[in-house]
Amino acid sequence: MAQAQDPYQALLAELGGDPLPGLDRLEPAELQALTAALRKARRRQQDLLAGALEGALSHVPLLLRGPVRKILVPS
Amino acid sequence: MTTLAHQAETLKLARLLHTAPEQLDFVGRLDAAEVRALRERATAALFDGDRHLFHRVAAATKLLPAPIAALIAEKALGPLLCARVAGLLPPERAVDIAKRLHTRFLADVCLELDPRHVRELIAQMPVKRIVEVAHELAARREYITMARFVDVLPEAAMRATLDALQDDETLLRIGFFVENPAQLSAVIQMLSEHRLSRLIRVSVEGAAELWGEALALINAIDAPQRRLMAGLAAALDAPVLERMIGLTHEAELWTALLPVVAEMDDAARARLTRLQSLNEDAVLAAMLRAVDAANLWPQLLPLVSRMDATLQQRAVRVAEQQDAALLQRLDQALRRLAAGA
Repeated sequence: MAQAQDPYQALLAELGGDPLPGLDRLEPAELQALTAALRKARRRQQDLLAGALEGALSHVPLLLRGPVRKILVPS
Repeated sequence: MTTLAHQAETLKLARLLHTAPEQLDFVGRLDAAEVRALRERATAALFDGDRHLFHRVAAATKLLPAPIAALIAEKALGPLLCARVAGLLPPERAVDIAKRLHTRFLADVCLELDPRHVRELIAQMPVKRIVEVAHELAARREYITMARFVDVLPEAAMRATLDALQDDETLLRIGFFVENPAQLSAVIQMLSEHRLSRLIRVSVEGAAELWGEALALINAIDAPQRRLMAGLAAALDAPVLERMIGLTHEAELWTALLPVVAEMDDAARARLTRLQSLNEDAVLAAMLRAVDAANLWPQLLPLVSRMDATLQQRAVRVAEQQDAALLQRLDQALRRLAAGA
């Protein structure tokens, strides 16, 4: 069974890069709260991005929407 | 860093993560610089995660006429994505679009922007437009956001904004959140002595926390500006000075005030020593204890040298009521003063 990731390492993985000063002074629950907030912000950004792209595409003539969508969001 | 600086960093982090600041109370255990490093890393992580899409949106935007791009920006993309994409567009193109956006929307974009990533765009933005957005942000009391732009505004835009924002408390509160002391000094240099004097008065007569933050600001700026501000503070009316000393005593700000007093001229220091509040035993005792704890005797001596004999004797009597070691250090400091006189 996979071992649960250490809260400090999980936050660093979410943030990317080297350790940050001070984070080692936070409690595991606080590190988890930060990680969760960061993941939520990322999801929010992705939802906004998806909605914005759809909104932007609605301004493109119907016949061109498919090709423009492929350019912007290649699957 | 001051308490307000920490508060500002926590608010900025909360805004980035779209969470309530109370949910991040635990970052109170980090210092302000550590919270800032965390926010900057989180900003980069959020940007990098969808970088490819931001680049594609930026590329697509380049293909559209500016009026259409502005329409789509406001109606479809929204402020967060516009902020992310703004730095990826050629500055001339971004300005051409931004000029066509409504002021309220541009202000929303500013809340999400990292101004350092759009320095060139801001440099090319018409000054009139910048002032309009500044008004909108000031009306919303978005002091933290405005302070972040102080670092990147060109001088002409900064001067126009300073002229336009006539509310001194607004200016003061923005100043508290400016991160770069050199830039703060440059801004202070752009203000007239009359305006600076008004700012100091507001910090003393306004909400209680303003004076402590104003002292932190004065201590952070370059020496010539600090000297100027110290002189302007000393020239305020006696009732304002009494309140200044009262606030310093209540909030235990002696270690912040004395370096400023040390920048004043002899006449100004003599004026301070004649204030009623500085002649109270409790105030003298608190000042001496603070000076002793922070080893600020050199900063206190210029003030002591302007005290009349009665007040000096009173200070010694108050010191005698403290501990013997403090009295001994005061005695040594006074001897050095006498030797130097």
